[in-house]
Amino acid sequence: MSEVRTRRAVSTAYYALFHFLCAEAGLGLVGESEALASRRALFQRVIGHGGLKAALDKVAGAVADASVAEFLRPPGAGPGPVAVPGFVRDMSRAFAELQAARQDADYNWNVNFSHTDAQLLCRRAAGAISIWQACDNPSGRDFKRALGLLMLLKGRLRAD
Amino acid sequence: MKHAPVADLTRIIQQISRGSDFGPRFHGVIVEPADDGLGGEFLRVSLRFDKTRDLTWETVKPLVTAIEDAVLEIDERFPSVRFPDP
Repeated sequence: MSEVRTRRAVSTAYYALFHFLCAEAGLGLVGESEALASRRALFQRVIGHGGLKAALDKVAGAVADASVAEFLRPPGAGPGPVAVPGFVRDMSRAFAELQAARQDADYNWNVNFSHTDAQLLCRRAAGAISIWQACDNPSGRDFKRALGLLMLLKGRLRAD
Repeated sequence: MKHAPVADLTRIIQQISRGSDFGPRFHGVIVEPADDGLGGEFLRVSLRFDKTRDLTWETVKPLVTAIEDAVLEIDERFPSVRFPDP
């Protein structure tokens, strides 16, 4: 695969993940009805790359960052650290990986990407989406909704 | 921001890589801080293997995840693991 096509594949994989997450936030926060498609599309445009990454960085570990733990705590759950579901952690890591790779692919021609890199990145993005979609129980949907709000808030619950 | 010395990160990643299923084909790692385009940094981690064409995400996931876990324990910059051509 030529260097150009490899870089294009990396960039495309990143945007697939980015737009998937924006669409998920729209479905969870605006609504799923087809009649709301236009409103969802407008809503999704509000979510930026930095804000999405900032939110996902807060759920990259086994437990949610302390600054957002109370917000993400499942209804009725007791005190203490808030566990991050596996599918969310996978997505957070995949997004961070794809975002870093896309930065190099689009803007840094001093860095080479191998065919293997592009394949692994595409597969990782696809896997993260698949695992995310497979988690459709009430607690998973609740976490997704809360995370969608956090994306909109750029990962921060306070202005300062 | 929590940053660890590149030398420490390199050593940890070498240990993880040598101890993984891919240990025999591992020949070194280069760790480079890089601009993430969002006001922060990530770590570009280039693993030198003598063969890469047979790698799949499913087979390297344990190695990559182990590296991410170890690095994020001591450094807030995300380790972007790459597999350059031999």
